[in-house]
Amino acid sequence: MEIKVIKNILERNQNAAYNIRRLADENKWYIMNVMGSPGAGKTSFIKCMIENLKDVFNIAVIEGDVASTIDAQQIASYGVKVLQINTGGACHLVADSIAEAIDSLALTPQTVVFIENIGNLICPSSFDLGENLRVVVSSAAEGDDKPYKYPIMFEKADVVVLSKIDIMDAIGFDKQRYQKGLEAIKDKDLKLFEVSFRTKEGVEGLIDYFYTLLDSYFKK
Amino acid sequence: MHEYFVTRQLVKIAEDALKDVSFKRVTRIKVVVGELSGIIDESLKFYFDILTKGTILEGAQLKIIPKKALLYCQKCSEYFERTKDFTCPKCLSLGKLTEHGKEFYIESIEVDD
Repeated sequence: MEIKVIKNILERNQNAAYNIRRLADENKWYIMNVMGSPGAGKTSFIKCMIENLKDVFNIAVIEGDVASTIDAQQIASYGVKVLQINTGGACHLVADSIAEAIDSLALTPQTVVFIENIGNLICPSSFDLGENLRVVVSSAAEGDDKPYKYPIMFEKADVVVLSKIDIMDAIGFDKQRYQKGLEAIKDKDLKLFEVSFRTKEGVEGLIDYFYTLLDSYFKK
Repeated sequence: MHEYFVTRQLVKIAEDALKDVSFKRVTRIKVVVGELSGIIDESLKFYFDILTKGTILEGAQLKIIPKKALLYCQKCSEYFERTKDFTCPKCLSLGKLTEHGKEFYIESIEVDD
């Protein structure tokens, strides 16, 4: 006998994500899921946001790492709420652990929550964390072929931050090829920012974008 | 890379689906896995054998049905299999990613009754 099932295997995670989204909506939290390869600049992105927005918005950070608290310590030095999740080898964060983290952070209403996902271009893309926005930080150092090789990660991104643009010329990064890859993947308008967190090139535009986005969200 | 986690979910869904069914033995579980789902067949099978030990699914065969990633060419109004730079093999214009290739679900469970 054959029993038809047709059930999405990731359903449990999706249900947990749905609950987070509902809670976030009630409490007016704005949750951002920050993804990208190891060393792409996820922590630099979050640090840049904290430095420039912490006087205006409440900020909390959930740091995902396979092991260690290096990133969490850096973030804590800014005096914002931070919680470390060590996945102990797992390649992605799941909604259940975000729900727990949110609970123990005791977030006040009207808070911006940055989730730094595990450095990896594959697995995190499959797991909805109940976020409002997906940010992919992708560095020039990784090469211009990344949208072609990891299309799902880029497809699900709302904002792509192309980082380390100060080394583009030195490594022969073909920006047109990269952009064409994104174009094939994206249906909606793609927000692409080109920045160097080291030289600060392009950073101002990024800050303006997030300031406006968050300001209008909290004023709604 | 996250097959351990998803295999646990898979086993749980299968157990739930079989709760009110009378059968002697589970023979096969069919799972549809798209090329872009990020799931590696071998790894899924590896964890399936480990995680079904001692459950009603022990000894069942995990049958994986692969699905290719298809892109859509708006010019030709046709689907085509993923190419290196996502260009349509016919007209060379840029294709769009579609839902084909992202599948990851249990299709059916076969039992001896």
